[in-house]
Amino acid sequence: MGNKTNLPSATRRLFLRRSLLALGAIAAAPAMTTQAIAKTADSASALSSLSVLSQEEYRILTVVGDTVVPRGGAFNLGALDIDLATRIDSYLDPDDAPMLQGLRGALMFLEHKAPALAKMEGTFSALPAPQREGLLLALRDTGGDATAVYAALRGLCTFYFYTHEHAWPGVGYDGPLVKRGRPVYPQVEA
Amino acid sequence: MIIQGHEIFAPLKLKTHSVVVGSGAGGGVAAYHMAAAGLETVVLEEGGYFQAKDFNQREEDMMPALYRSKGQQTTTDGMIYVWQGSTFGGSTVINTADATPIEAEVLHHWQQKFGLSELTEDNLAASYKRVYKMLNVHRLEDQILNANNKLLLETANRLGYKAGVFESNRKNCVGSGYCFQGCAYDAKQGTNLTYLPKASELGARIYTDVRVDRIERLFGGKYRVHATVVARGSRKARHPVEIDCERIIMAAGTVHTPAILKRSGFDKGLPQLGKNISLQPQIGLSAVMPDSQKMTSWRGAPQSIYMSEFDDNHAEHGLGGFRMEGVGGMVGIFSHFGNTIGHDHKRLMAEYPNTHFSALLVPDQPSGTLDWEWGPDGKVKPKIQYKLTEEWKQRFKRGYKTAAEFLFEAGAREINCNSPVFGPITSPDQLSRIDEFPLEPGMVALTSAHVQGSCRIGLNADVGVVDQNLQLHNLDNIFVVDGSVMPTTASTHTMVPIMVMADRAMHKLAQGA
Repeated sequence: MGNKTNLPSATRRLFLRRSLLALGAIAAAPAMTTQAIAKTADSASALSSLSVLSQEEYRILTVVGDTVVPRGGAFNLGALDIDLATRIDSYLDPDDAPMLQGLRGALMFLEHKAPALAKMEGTFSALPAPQREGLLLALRDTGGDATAVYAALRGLCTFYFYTHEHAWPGVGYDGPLVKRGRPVYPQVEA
Repeated sequence: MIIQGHEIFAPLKLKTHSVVVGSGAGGGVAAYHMAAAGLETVVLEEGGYFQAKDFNQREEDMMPALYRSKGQQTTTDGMIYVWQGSTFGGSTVINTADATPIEAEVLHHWQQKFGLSELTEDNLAASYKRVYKMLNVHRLEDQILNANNKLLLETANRLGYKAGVFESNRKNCVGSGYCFQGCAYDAKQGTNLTYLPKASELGARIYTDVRVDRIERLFGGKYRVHATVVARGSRKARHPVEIDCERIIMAAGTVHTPAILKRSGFDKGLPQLGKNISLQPQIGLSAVMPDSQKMTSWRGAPQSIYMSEFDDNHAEHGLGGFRMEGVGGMVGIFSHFGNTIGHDHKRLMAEYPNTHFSALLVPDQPSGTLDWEWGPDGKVKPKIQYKLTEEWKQRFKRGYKTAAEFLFEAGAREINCNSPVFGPITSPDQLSRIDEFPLEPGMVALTSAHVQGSCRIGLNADVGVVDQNLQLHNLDNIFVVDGSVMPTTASTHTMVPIMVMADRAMHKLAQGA
């Protein structure tokens, strides 16, 4: 699957804002109404442990993570084992509206619109694992915005999976030499 | 004295002689020289104050803390990540501590093309001496060279290619490998450990978490700096700051220095402001080596050896050609390499210990511009407009092919890069695929760690923003001392070039010359 030689053509459109995630907003824009995005956002923190993602977004992102980093294979650990979607949520900036819009757009596009583009029925998250992987790779090979959604979600999942300490034994990385938590930011009123 | 934003609970009004905007390579040097001259000096740094004890060697935490826009600053088309430090010490905190001078051919180019007759090796020699002494520049010790970098040297030696070991501004380096995340051992001698503490000892007041918004010109040739105390992390506005001063030294970097000048209305009469940007784009390459050949790229000095056989530096064009440099130490970012997901990607990641990482650097000619976006808050926000030229693309592809051949010669089984669509190259007979490499937005993630230009030196305002003493052409007592002044890319690493240029100008200024 990895040895693809025919490259997709890229569109030249300027992107709204290029954090990786923001690309998804444009991809989803034709497919999603503003109200739909707002509704998704309004239900944020439906799960008590989530800071930014809604329950629905969390659910879809969990399936994306499981597709990008499944259990088994070269090493056992997969995205489900570390609750990757919650980890990603903990790093999302609730004030970064373009980035959040991009992420929400990308997830909704993948869940509801992408399967039809690949002539698959149902939602992304309801597909069997091989079809989910096939769909993501089809997005990669489509070019333009679809490729951008693939790149954004793939990058998000792999970055926060492989920077998790539980992933390190599987890839032979012995980790930082200092054992410290996240840096502390002084709490002051803005 | 270092005053952190969270220690400020009310609006501030100050008076001082000199205000230095930014605390990185240029700002640190400027602050030191002003304070050493006995001038009352205030340094304003938008980023937070972090120390060795705060650095946890994890990229997911350190990039948001130490990098501009949390490491997500890009060109407007999203294709090139533009990395800049945004913390006490600026980019000198997050670089790989490589100390390279301005190339001789670059100085000759500046003299020939731009008439910069004062910027000669002789005229800069005293500055090099001062900067190198302050930073403890020396050849890297052999014991912290890692297998990942030594692969370049050994292969180059075998092929008869030019290669070498970097000089570095480290002191007592333990070789942990986490330079990009700030040095947890205070070994990297950035401005945070050298110029800024010395400036502080000499009386400079250094404010962190304070963003400069604009500069107002007052009657009598004085200035008022309008700034804002921001919350660390979110950077939300907290308290206004006003500082009346006689001199302003801009060192906010190639992207933000011109933005502040633009906001202040100082662009009138400076047609070159925000133009002539070089990004020196580079791409990360990974090469899976045989299982027995452990690279352990994340330990040791991450970037210690270069292969320079294909440098093409000439007085006609400055830096040219392409080169390879070892790079390592970031499991998260390296997980983006390759185009696969699922079990294929896991197989690739399981090769991490025996994967070699390097960067292919392809110098560019200045062609980017800053565009201005007026935000809803009434502030100008810079946008980096940059388009790869056809000449650069062709040189990049030649460089990629050469690098791939080199890595196969070194024993690579598979070569990938930071592109989500370009599949692995698994044998030399696939090199022709590089002719179709997708240098398009969304198809590849290039990186710029050495953004320069935007306020380039020129003999007059028609061709430059600052003169050879780094003073604005259209206003007295405003200086620019960061990477923005470089007429073309100065070197493969820009900390020392910025410091040397700043030292020369600020030393002269402090001496009243």
